[in-house]
Amino acid sequence: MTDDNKHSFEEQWRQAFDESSLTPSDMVWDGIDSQLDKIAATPLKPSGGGLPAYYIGGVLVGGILTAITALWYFNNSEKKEVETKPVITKEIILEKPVNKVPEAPVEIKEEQSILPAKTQVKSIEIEEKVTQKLPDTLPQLKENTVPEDIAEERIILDTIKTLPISTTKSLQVTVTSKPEIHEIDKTPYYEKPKPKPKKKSILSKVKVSVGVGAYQQ
Amino acid sequence: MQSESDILKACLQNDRIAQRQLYNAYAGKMLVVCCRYASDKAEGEDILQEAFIKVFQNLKNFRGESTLGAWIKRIVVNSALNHLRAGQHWQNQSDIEDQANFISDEGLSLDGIHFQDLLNMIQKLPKGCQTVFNLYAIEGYQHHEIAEMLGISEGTSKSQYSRAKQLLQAAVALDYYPRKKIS
Repeated sequence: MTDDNKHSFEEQWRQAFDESSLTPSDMVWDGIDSQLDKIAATPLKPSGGGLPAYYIGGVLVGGILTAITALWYFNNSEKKEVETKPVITKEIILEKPVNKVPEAPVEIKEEQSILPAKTQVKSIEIEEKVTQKLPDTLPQLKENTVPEDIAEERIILDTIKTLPISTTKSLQVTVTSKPEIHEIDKTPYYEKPKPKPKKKSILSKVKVSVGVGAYQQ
Repeated sequence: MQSESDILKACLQNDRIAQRQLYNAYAGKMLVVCCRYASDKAEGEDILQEAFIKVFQNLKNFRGESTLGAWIKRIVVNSALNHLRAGQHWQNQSDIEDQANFISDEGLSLDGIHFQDLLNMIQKLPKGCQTVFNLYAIEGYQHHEIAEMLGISEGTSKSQYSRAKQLLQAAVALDYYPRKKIS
């Protein structure tokens, strides 16, 4: 069989069906019509992977809210950690009253406050309202009144000596030192253990009464 | 009278009248295609119904790269193949080695034979032969394409086609050329 024969064979069959047509029964269109009605009645599926849009939106909003809450929570917890570190700032105010007797000790006010800082800040304000010349005994008094355990304060007091008497400046000195951490401050929410209430015996509220009665008919 | 593009636009809006117009325009030709793959007209009409539902559902995907008739015909042929697969007509399609009694189609003409008779001849073919013959001889697919479409080997496609050709030649010769000696 030659190629021409092959071609002619297929071509003849193709041409035989080329313009051919058959009339379908009315049942075919009725079936198509009812199927199209059913398809139109059913809601269309969303194009994004089969999941409804409101479901995807809900998941997204939930995720964003969770992320925001987590961020807010961790930020707050970090702040709390910083805040709970006790840093003691001692503010020593040396006042020199004008009309006071030289023997009067210099008042040292110590104020303790908790600040959110890792370093201890010691500010010393010296209000010098003295117009008169202080007696020579003042340094000795000052040295006696300053607590011995704080070496840095001594340094500050030494600097005070070098200041001229007539100055009205207030001196601020920042000294960094390890905070004094007491046992009670190690745990930020430390509370002293309350004494346990003594257990009362079960029979403490039991009252026993004894009496004699008679039934009346 | 509405143009084809107007009918298409109306069909996309689910206009049932326009859908009916489109159906009327192509249903007759497409029924012949369906019947070539079917055993009878009733089966062909079932395939036609499935095919036109797909046509209306996928009309939004028609880009105009081919004619609307060619696009609908592709859907009809695919629907016919799906119908045959669903009916498990593809079981045990094997090579046909026996090619004896080969009839030469030299001088064998289909002129004067009504297409309905030719259609009956095709419908009497075994399913495998019928489908491969339709795809190769009339639709114009190559054997490797047919093998891929039907999930068979290329050799099987070729042998099925040879068998179909042999049977059809015999049918034509016996029905329309009974006096002609078959070589």
